[in-house]
Amino acid sequence: MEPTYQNGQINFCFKLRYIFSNPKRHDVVAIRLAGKKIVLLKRVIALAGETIEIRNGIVFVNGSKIEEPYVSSPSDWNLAPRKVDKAHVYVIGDNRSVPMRVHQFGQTAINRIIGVPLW
Amino acid sequence: MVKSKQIILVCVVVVTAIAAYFVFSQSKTEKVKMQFEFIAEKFNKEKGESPIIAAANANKIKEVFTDPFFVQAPAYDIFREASTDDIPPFVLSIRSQYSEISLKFYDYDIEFPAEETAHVSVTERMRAKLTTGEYVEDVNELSCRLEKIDDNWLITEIEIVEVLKK
Repeated sequence: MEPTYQNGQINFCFKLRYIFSNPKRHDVVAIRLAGKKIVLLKRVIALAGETIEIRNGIVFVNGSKIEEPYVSSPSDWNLAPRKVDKAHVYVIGDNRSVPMRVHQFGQTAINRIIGVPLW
Repeated sequence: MVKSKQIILVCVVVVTAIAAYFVFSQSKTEKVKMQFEFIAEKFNKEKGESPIIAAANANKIKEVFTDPFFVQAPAYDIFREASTDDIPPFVLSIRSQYSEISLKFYDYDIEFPAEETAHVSVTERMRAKLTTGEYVEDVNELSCRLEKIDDNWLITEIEIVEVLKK
């Protein structure tokens, strides 16, 4: 999630954020990667039922380009269109300077989202 | 007087039953955990390990699986039944890429849906040094089903949980 958050940076998670609502586009969310302790911070890019595509580093949702002011480094990523499953969201980190194959992103079940970083 | 003796007796029986339940269930949990600790112990690798030790360790790991067992790794499109005979060559091929390996299992969540069945959700973390000298780290959540066979808890199903699906 660099430059928004640094690897290993200590933060607190607000777990009550999504009790009465679902994550929205551009929210930074904490995703339970494994067990109760390993958490990833990612940004929600597409919601359930939407189609996401990446062309030369530019993200399109339902065919429309989305603005991503938080991405500071351009990328050459390409991802064929795919629909986000029911009860899932599509998340990507802000650090797009790394090769696509090593970046952890994709759709995740909403029930794996444990909250949002407090700051 | 008789009544108070009866109450004390009932209390003793209840406390003993509760204690026995906890001791029994704890020992079951510990036995299941021990299978994962066994895998970690045999998978770990120290610098300069001899090929004979490596082969023996890889062969030992199959002792904690049923034959066959089911393996799922959706991120790699793997959904298949495997034989325990597949384990030693697979383990050896993975281990040969590294000069040192430290594998740990932690954050166990163990449930017993039936008397002789266990469902385990556990975090697996592997830190290793490639033969080229670089360090790598990998963390996964594993979901496993074990069955108690001849007083041994054996893994019948293992899944590497895919959290982010591209």
